[in-house]
Amino acid sequence: MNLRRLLVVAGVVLFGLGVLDLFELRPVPFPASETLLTLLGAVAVLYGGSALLEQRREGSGPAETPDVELATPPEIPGTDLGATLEGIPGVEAVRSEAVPSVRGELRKAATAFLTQYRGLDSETAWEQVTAGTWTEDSYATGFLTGEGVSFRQRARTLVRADGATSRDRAVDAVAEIAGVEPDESADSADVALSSDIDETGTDSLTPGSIDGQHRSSRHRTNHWTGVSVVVLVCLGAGVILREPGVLLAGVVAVGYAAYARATPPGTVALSATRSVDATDPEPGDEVTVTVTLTNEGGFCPDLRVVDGVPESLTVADGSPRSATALRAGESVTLSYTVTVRPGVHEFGPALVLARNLSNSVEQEFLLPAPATLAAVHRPEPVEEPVPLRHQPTQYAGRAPTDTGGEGIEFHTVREYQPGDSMTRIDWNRRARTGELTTLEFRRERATRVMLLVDIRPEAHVGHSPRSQDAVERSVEAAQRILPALLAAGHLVGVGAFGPQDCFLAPDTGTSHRQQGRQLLATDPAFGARTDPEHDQRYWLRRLRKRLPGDTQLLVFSPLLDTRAVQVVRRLEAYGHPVTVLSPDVTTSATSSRRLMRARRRLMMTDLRQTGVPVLDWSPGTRLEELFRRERATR
Amino acid sequence: MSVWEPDDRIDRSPTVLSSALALLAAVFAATANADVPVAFLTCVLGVLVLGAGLLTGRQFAVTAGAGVLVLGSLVGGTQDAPVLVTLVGVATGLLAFDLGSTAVTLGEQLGREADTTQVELVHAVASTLVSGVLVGAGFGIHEAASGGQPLSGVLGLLIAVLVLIAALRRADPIR
Repeated sequence: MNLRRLLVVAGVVLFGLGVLDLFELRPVPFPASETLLTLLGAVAVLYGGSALLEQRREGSGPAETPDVELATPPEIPGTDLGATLEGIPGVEAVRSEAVPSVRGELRKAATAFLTQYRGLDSETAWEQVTAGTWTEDSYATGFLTGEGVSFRQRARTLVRADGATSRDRAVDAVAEIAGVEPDESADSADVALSSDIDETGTDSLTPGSIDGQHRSSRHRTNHWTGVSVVVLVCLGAGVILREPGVLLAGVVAVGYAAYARATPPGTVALSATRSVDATDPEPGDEVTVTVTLTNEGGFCPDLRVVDGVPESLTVADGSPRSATALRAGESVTLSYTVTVRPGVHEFGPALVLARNLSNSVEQEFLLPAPATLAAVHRPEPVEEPVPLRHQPTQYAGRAPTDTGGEGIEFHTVREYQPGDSMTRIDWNRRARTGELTTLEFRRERATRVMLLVDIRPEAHVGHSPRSQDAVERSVEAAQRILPALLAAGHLVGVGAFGPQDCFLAPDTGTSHRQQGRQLLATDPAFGARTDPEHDQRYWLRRLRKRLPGDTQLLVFSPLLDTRAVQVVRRLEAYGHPVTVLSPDVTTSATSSRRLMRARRRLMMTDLRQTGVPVLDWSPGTRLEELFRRERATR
Repeated sequence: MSVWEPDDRIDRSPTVLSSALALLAAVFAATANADVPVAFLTCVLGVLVLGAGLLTGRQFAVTAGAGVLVLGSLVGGTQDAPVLVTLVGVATGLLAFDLGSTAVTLGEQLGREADTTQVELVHAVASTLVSGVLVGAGFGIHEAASGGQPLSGVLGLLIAVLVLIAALRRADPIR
């Protein structure tokens, strides 16, 4: 502070002396030699250069704003080859290497696929892989055996120029064992888009990022960085060259610098209100959101607003951003429409960037304007019967059993036993032959079904950045299956296949149906991907304790990892018949994604071999079609 | 329900109004120097670089273009262009820089779809007024001092300005 005052005083005194001398009012006491002037000019130019460098180092600048308009896209499975290889279950004959390498892991994977799909025992498979006799592709075997490819072949590849490395060829050859073919039509635009998104991110403004009411940070924008350089260069050059025009241009630039420094940043006081125009929207509806900002302080020449659109929603029309100048008491309204997706969405605070008139200082605020938007599916039930496994309870229902008794459909005729109901005696036969027989009908009984949706982070993946992820597809399917099963007289419950605590015991009735629908639509467990704070280890034990004894399970899982398979097998072993409905989220766009698809096939084969029916649900297929096909194969 | 379209990406290119005004200022700076061929050509180069920067949304190109504009005007000043022309050239060059980088940051922060007209107008008017006042002040000093410049007076002024800049750098609004 003191130094600054000193500088100002010195500057003013010198300025006065200069003016006095200019106007020849009084001679200045010190000598003014030409060399000294030139030296000073050079110093000024150098100082300008150093100021430029210093400013560049400072690094602060205009605040960056997040892409709030976009929903976070799902991850595409199989992007990382190493992780994909790691998840392929090993085979006994193969010893793990001390240092895992892509080649070693790929050999193990090839052995696992050969054992499963070519009927080889694991030792033969391993021999074939190490000897390189399992495929015709010399690039693949060359990579796996570590011998490489002959120079001549390599030269031929260069001419063919299909761009695939021998590692990719090997990965493709391994995936081909499981029947996954490279697909030329795979959308490469999707791959480009997903890497594009990975770079920028679509982070939202979360309420968690505010501490206290308003968090503001005030910083320089470096908007006027260049001006002090211009000043110094003008003055230096002007003095060295003795050009009054250049020298005076320096004065103009000084004026700009002073303008940048002198305009006050001011104190900004704003308030925000938000309104959402729909009370009970359906998923897919477009809902208008209106935000009003009121200036409760003095004049704000430059306000830039980015509203906190929930991370799970996309803006359909309009822009949640605006820039305006507000006088005291004035307010500005911005409105835009969002496309609603099922679930509960919470709006974050609005980000406000307030600048002074000269744009030299910027202040950041987060203005809380809380609002939530909840949308519940009103799905039509699946029209086809859901392929369940036989496991009757003692309650009357519609699942046919193999035992006779009371019912509608004819089953057998047996000899009359005392105590049989009069209505079930075959009176026609009695009249014809005099024999007394009892009609048996196919007994129909209810089944107790638990719908379990895989919500672990591994399931938050989709086949394209524009698609729904596996969890969303699973929840949508569960929403359609729940009313269908209830209408068929079954007792149905809903739960999470994962660490989050979410469980609705199997029951029946209208209010139960409502409850289940509401749970699937609004429970945070089924919502956007959350950080795994929950206990990863004990959820299976907790789930088992809650499952009533004779309950069969319908698990919705993309089946991408061994853990999912293990849990399903364990549940099956505990006596709960399991059916898996697996939304397919794998693609065949790159070789590592093809390997992921092959890995999923391996998991499905693995489960089917233990007697668990797995319904492979590809993105374009309707559930009805899937169920019809499943019943035909049984 | 589609979630993602490639066209959904926010258009973060510079805003139209400020870009147009910046180009206008740059062209004005170039025409002011039309009498001196070297200065004019340098200025035209500056306009081109600035325009390219505004098209691609690169702050560096905008700064460089404006820098070349200022340099061109200074070259004009050394080539016996009238003092007023040099002053106007430098002032509008700086104005072009101000408006151009406003367009770039507004584009980066809010994108083209947001309504930013009011802020851009307020900013452009304020900056234009300031540059007008500064050119007037510079020319006034020139007229007052044109009787003949004792070098010691210029020296005093130079040191004074340097010291004042140092003071201004310390008088930072950010504490």
